[in-house]
Amino acid sequence: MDALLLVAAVTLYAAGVGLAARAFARHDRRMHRAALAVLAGGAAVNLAAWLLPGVREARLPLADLRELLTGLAWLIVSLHVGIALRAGLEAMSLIVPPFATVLLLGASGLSTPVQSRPAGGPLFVAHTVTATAGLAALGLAFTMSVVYLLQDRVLKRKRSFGLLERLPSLDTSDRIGFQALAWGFGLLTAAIVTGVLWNAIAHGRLWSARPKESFPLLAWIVLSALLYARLARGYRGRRCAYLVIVGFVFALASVVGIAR
Amino acid sequence: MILLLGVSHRTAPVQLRERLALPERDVPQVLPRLRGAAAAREAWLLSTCNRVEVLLDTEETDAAAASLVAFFCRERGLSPAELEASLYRHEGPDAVRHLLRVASGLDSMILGEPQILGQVKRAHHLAREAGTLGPVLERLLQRCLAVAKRVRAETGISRHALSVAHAAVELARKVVGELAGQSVLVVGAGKMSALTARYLAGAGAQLVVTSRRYEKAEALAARFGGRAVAWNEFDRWLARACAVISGTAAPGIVLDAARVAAAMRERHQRPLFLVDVAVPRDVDPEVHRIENVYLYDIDDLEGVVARNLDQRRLAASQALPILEEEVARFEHWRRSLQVTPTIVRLREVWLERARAELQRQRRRLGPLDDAQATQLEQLVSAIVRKMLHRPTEYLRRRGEQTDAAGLVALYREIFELDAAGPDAAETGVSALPSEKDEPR
Repeated sequence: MDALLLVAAVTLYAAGVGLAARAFARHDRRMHRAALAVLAGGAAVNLAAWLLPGVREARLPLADLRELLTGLAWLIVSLHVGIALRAGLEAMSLIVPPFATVLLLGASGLSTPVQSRPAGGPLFVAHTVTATAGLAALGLAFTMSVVYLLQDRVLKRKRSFGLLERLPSLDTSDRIGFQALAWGFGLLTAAIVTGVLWNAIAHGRLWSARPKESFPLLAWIVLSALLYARLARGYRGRRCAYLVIVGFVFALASVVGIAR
Repeated sequence: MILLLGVSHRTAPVQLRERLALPERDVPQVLPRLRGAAAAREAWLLSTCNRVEVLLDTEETDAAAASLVAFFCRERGLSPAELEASLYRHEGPDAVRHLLRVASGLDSMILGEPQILGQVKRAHHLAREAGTLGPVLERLLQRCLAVAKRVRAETGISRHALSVAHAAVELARKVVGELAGQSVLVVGAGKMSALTARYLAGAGAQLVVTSRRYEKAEALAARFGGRAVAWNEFDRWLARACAVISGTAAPGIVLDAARVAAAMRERHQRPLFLVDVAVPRDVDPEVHRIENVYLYDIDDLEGVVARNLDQRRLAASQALPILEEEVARFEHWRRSLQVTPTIVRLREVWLERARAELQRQRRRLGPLDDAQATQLEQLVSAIVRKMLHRPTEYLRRRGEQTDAAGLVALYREIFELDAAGPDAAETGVSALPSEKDEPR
């Protein structure tokens, strides 16, 4: 049943992306809205696939990598649908949902049985929720940085934009990316603090050198340096985009570390 | 049959086009006379600086074409040879196709330019005002406007800028997003700067103009509602503006890499879009190497325009299937018109004959009450309708597929439609299939 739901969500996402591609090629705004509706339907199924096992077993649905990726995919697509409904950004429907679809496909490929975990109470809930939401926000910032770098490259090389033509401008991708980064950083900080406290309570130690504990710290260092440069010095542009990508990769690596 | 005659920038020099062109205010008077002269059912006229075209719905296309040429020669003092040398003529589906191409901007001097759609729309209103449109041209023009909009939306043909100034503004948008309310520094007050400034002002940008001669900067700023600043404020605005357009008459480099690098530090690396429209160039090409700075000179912009033209050509080729689909649909609808009067008449005549026959036989049937009489009449009508159903459907189907004039004549003979009494109802415009009946 859960696997079926995942397959249904992936199928709906794929259909939504296909429709969005058609809308993009035909410059059809209404069709793009239809694509967003299909993506929203996919997100609803994705949400069900994510929450049902937890509801059945009366636990938080973030017990393993499969559940985390499923939740992350849902968050990313929901965020995208919400933003795209207000801001248009047709081209982004060809980038963000496919990314989430890959996450979901990854999740459906994993069949990790739910491991029994020490009950963490509210602290564990806070940790997993902030970590997942933070990762989703950083995922959006990452996407915007990729969009920024692609366009920077085209502008510098003075090439034809081709299909990149309707991506949001450098300024817009920078702005949305920065907002997502600010949220992502705040949530990541909260996730690290709650994670450390939970660790202390559950395992009696604050920190260990395991990947899932060291990568978030690396991500936090990179992103805090970036935010300092941006907020205090106003720095932006290509190098900032690279740093966002590095920060996100570290943050993602910590998720992969969960499976270990 | 639809007939289209015209001259355009492709076939006629401007000297001929300007003699044929009609001022808008004259169109409502000229159209009825033109329709009368060509003995056409319906007439429409498009007159722009690049083309004069007349669209007619007429039985006799050759006679109508000759009359139309004579009409224009008489009205405009031209010799027939002079006009005919530049005149093109399209009939039936070709005329429809041509009109769709024109309205979609595919036949325009600047491929895909959108103004022509407004001109076609205006000409449509004028012809309506003049009362020279009937169901055929009315429908054709409506479809034409809808298709032109669809072509624009689906192929994006009008999106790619075809002038250097327009291309510069489009590129600026890729860097800074919407220009409305953003400051753009215009350096130099020459012709190219002014041209680019016009596009920038049109996009809502706040222009800040500087020039070595302050009064020239003031004059340009005044034209586009911007502000003029002194030449020594150049660097201050270089650090503040979202884009810079430079087009001075200076013989050498006005802006070097060191100054731009300094401005970038002050801008905290906020991206800067620089356009150098001057020849010789104002901005050191090395500036483009600086991170987050994008410098485009006149050659780069011309390269963009050339690529954009290719894009428009590609879009034009993508538009062709859309036009063909519409040509086929319109032809389909128009053919169905040939058979509709016959179908209507067939039903009316035979219902009338059946009722007359019933009246004659009533005496033999003995006394009938009202309900029985009505029932009998309904029965007879139902039989007639049922018998005519297949022949009617056949005629309708064939009419949509091919030219059905022969079949129509055959039906009229077999079913004795022309021999029917004078009381048989006249059919005409009211019998035209409506939008709802349209085969899709």
